[in-house]
Amino acid sequence: MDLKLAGKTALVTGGARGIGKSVAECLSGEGANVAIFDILADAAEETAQAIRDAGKKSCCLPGKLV
Amino acid sequence: MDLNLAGKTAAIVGGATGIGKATCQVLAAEGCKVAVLDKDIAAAEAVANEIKGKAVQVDITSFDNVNAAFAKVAEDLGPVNILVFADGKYDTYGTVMQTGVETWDAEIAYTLNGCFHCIRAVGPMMKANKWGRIIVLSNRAVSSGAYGQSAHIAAMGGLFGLTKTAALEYARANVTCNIILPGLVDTPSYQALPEAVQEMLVKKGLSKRLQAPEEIANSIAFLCSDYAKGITGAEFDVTMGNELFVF
Repeated sequence: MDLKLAGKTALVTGGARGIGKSVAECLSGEGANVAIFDILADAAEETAQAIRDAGKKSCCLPGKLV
Repeated sequence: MDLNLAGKTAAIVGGATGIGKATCQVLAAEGCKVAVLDKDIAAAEAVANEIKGKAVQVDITSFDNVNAAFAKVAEDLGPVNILVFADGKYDTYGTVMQTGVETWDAEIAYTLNGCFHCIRAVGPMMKANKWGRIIVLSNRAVSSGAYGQSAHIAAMGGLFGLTKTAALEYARANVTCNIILPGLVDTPSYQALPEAVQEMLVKKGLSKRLQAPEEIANSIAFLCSDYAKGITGAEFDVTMGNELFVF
């Protein structure tokens, strides 16, 4: 089933680790470009880099939601 | 996303028309071996021919008949892995006071007993395989009531309790049971409504449009997949928010 997410841009808050990371990887696997927003800057960059290493687009947005 | 449904045997009850038919098409496209079960064998055969599936005539009011129908499916396509119950009576309109006992009994005998017969019949096959998916189509109005549909909504409410209980009892066998609540879908039962009623229903909704049967079928396909293995005993409102408060 093609979920037709190719080319969509997804922002995943808390995307550096845990469920958020899995969500980011899953969306990326479906072709979405993924922005990882997380307070854990290093972990967020690591997750984004791993997605880029897999040949997909991803960037890291370190920051606080509040 | 590969739903990993290739080779699974899916039995769609009420598969000849509407949401059931769309479900047959979507699951066949995902690689399932599809059995189209319906009381109308000619219509079931038309769908089965289109998707290279198998049509089986079934009278869901009879447990023996249902059992025999599923045994036939198992013989030809393998044990049933997926059951979608997309059947119901749509000709029992009437308020409580207008509904005769015979009409009431006919609705319960068809919709509620029919669903029980199907879930009961596939249970042993799914438990033996340690894998199964049961999806039951109910109605969003079971919690709000629907004027003039006492028998139908009562039967649909019964499907809720039945499906949730089956979810509890089948969980350890890796069989999930979930409920889909469709919105206003462009099906023969919708088209059979008086035009004024159709118009009123579309206007009343949040989205102001009819849903295509495929929209519901796609949600069903996801629930059938291993991606949904953690979901059981849940109900899914696929009404496009039609029942949300609008002003």
